[in-house]
Amino acid sequence: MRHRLPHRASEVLAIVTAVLIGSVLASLCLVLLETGLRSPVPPQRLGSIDLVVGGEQSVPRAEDLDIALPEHVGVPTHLIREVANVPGVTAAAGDVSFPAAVSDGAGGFQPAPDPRRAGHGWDSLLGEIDLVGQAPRGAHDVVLDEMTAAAAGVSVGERVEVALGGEPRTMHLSGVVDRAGTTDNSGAASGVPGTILVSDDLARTLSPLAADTVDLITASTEPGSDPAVVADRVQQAVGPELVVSSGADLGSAERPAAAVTAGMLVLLVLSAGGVVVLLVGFITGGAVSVLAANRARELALLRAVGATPAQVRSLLARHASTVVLASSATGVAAGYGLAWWSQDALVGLGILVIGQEVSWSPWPALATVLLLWGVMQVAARAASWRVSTLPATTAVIETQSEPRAGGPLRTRAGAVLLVLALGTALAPLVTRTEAAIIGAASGALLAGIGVVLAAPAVVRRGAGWLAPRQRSVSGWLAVRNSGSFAVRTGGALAVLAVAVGLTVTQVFTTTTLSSVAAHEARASTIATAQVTADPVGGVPEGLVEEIARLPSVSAAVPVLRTSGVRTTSDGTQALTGAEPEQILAVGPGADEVLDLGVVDGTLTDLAGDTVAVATSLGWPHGIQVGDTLPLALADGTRVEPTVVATYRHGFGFGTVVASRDLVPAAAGPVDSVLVRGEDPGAVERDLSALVASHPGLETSDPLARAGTATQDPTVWISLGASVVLFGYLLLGVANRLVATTLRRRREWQLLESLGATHGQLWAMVAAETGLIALGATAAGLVISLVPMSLVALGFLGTPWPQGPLWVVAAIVLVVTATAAVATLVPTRHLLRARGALVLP
Amino acid sequence: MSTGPTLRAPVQQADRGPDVAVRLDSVSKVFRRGGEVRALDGVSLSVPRGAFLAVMGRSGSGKSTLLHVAAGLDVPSSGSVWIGGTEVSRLRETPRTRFRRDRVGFVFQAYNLVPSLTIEENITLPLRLAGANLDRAWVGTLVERTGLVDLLRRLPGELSGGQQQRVAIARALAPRPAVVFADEPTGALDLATGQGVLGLLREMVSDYGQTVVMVTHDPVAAASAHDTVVMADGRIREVLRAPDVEVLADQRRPPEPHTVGAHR
Ligand SMILES: Nc1ncnc2c1ncn2[C@@H]1O[C@H](COP(=O)(O)OP(=O)(O)OP(=O)(O)O)[C@@H](O)[C@H]1O
Ligand SMILES: [Mg+2]
Repeated sequence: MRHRLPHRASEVLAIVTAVLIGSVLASLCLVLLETGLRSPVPPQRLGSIDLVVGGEQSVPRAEDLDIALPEHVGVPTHLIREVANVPGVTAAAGDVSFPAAVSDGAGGFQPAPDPRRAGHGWDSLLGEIDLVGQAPRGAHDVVLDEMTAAAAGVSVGERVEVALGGEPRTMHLSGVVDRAGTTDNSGAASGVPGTILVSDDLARTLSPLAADTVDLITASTEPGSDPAVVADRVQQAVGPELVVSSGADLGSAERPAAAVTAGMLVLLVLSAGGVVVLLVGFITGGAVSVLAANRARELALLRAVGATPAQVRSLLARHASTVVLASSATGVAAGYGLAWWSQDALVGLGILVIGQEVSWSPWPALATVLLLWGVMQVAARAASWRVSTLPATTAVIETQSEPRAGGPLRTRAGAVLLVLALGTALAPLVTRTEAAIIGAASGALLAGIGVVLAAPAVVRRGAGWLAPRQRSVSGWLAVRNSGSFAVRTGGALAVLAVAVGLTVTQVFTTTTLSSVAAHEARASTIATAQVTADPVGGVPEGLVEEIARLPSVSAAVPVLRTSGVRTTSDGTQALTGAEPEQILAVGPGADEVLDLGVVDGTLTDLAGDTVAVATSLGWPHGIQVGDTLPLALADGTRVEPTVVATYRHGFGFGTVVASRDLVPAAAGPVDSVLVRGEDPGAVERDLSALVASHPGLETSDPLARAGTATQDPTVWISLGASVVLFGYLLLGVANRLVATTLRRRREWQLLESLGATHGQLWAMVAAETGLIALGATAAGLVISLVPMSLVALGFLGTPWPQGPLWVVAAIVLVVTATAAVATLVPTRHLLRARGALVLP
Repeated sequence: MSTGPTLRAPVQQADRGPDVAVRLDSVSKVFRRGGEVRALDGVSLSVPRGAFLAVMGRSGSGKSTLLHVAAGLDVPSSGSVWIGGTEVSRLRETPRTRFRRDRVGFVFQAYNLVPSLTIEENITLPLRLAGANLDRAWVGTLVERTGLVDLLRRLPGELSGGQQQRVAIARALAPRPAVVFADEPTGALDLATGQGVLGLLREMVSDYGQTVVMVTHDPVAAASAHDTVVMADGRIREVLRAPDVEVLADQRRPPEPHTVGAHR
């Protein structure tokens, strides 16, 4: 009975691969989820500090996770003395930061992840650091870490070129700190940014903070004292509004932005996790149902000889479960490996902060194995439900033919879903919000399920129409087969269609969003040039005026990017469902460099406590000119600006454009200066001259940084994830096709005994595969490109989906190739392996 | 009338005349899967045109194997098989298939209809596969004779066993093959239905000169054939010319302790 063997091997292989890859994906997601929720942020500069007092770095949100604030909330300066006076505390100091960068010894500046906050006062370290040389005392002293000093090519006592507060200066390197003592090895190995320390007096003047506020208070405790007890006393002294951190919490107190990116990781995993679980269920379920179909006759015969329905079901479940346990264990191991490997990539993308590591615990492994085991149990029982509950005799007869088409209920449900999906796809024509685009995209998922449900009936109809139009007998047989086994054909077709549809949708949503953003940015930027100074942490205030005074320049407007979340009017909590909005803080004269497509009000009024709001935010929430918009800014500052204008081009510049006066952090250097002049050539020349004399300054096309959507690292992650899921789906279909093809041995033997040649059988199988690939491509492209075209029509006025066509071509090619390989290889195997046409 | 089947050991050119429909020369078939089984052991047989030959023998005696090899569904391990003037055992897979679908009809014990095709499509499938022109009058006659006129649009699953067997016979006869082989065509049918199917085959022989080779366990069925070949242990033990039912029924008793010697 050799021919039986490949059947079983293929069944087991189908389940093993489905479970293996499913458990890799699930365990990876769970490990990353745990990382996002629990991974401690390692301290950098403050690693040897005993206690840190900081503000409450989150805004509570009703019915949801708190919103983490990316910037230091700050602590009143006068509390430094009170902390120092707490018994058990030996010293306390305030910590402030300022924009700083160190020369790379070649006319430029050393790259750093956040030059805007790279500089600090010396006292915050409380002397708990190994110093070679002198602490910075005078206004020209600076202390660097060994690596940074070496990169600048200077040693203690020499002069060093730095930029402080965006301004280049020559300082005296009074000392060098050995950072090996303050950070763990992994941090040093991954290149922790430079430490730039100056005297506290200088730090104070360079910091954009008001004098009565510091970012943090650092404190050291008496040797031998109980840190917990001292921390309690400090908490008493500073009051309940502030947060006292020590030990493992120091890192997140030092780098509040880490909490924001960790939250981003959690969101990312949760959004991907849903699809992963869905697909794992879908594909392992599919593999089990193929197994059940293959074994249906055996199961029916078991029933006939006296097995109870429950016995039959658990027989199949047990059979599948043993495979699951073994392969999910392997998959989990691979998932952990992948998580370990992705650690550096996540740091590179800015999802984890430098030095942060993936959390390891057995829970993701346990949960993954349980999930897959559960999926398998349910799928096995569901798949064998029918054959196990039928009367034994009917069961034996039924299993000789396959189910032919889905019931009318199934078809109707599919049709309803498709109509609903079309409804969501129309949304972008009505409202121009990001939610409309996302809605249209998730409509594709709905449509995918609709296709899965409706496919058998459509295949049956289509085959009925096509059959009489076939000229070759192979084509005719192919169409008749597809129609007669509509559930089998429709199943494979629908899963391929979903693979095409979801992947195209994912890619095109991203490209459409950024194309909309670029389109709006182009349409609304009337500035002719832009000046930035990213390497040194920003363009200093003084330079803005200098640029404005250039003869060719008619307007120079400083711009700062930050964020804020809408709060209740008393500011105590974020509004339900509110997410942080991007805020563009602009100086006076914004209307001279930006044309935001103002719908109501005017940008001229944008001064003091005022904001302009994009209609995509204002329209759904009923925000109008004259209303107040309570916000919690990135550093927690509560503001209640008046809305002075609403505008259309929200995708290019963010949903809120604020007066710079509203944002306290804007007191320091700005992100960029948008410049306009009558003669762009003259502006260009004047700016080039200015840039040449100011190291760190750069001039560029004003559109270079305008589109914000493309800079989001999560875009790349979700694109990568959708490629992986596409592959997983394809694998599922391939498994299914292999198993169903191998099941057709008898059918082909019969045809051959009636005189079909191998050539005719090949042609028939090829035609069937072609039909599946064609149908899948057509359905997949319809469910993805229709909504994307409507988005393009709604936002850009062109009915063409915005995205690379080669992606569509590649996806279609891959899908067709997969279908071909997965049917033709087993076909070859069957036609080769067979000897005589002995039929009973 | 026919001259009846002849048993010969040596191959004689003279026998390959136009009157011989099927001829087997020292055909052996050995199955090597899971131990060696000699299903056919040097069988020689020639079936004249227009003959209705029954093949009997105990279960496992090699009847089905004989039919498969004679019809070109399977190839012999040694010896040669001729259908008309063609040595089918020499043909490679594809030419053999082409030859078979033009010249040989086969009726399986288990009907073996294609479940996804209607009765009409099943009957004409071999013609379609051969790319042959549909002889509507002939198929019409067959459908009428087999009593399938009202069932043409149905699917095989919707037919009774006897009806399905009649479809299988119509299908085998549709391309006007030189020979029709039938493996226990009445095995699964009740007496009356079985008689109907046998009558149909007989009519084909008497009315159209069709050559039919039929395996059966049923003495009554065998009696409706001209001659009967009795098989045992992969050999032809005996040829009975126009036997009556009693003689045939004797063949079903356990064999005598001694084996029948030569097939002469
Ligand atoms: N594909 C095969 N592989 C191995 N042995 C086989 C195969 N087909 C038949 N045999 C063996 O060859 C011998 C003859 O089988 P065959 O099917 O011709 O018997 P039969 O006379 O038709 O029996 P029945 O009356 O039960 O149908 C038997 O011993 C059988 O087991
Ligand atoms: Mg037999």
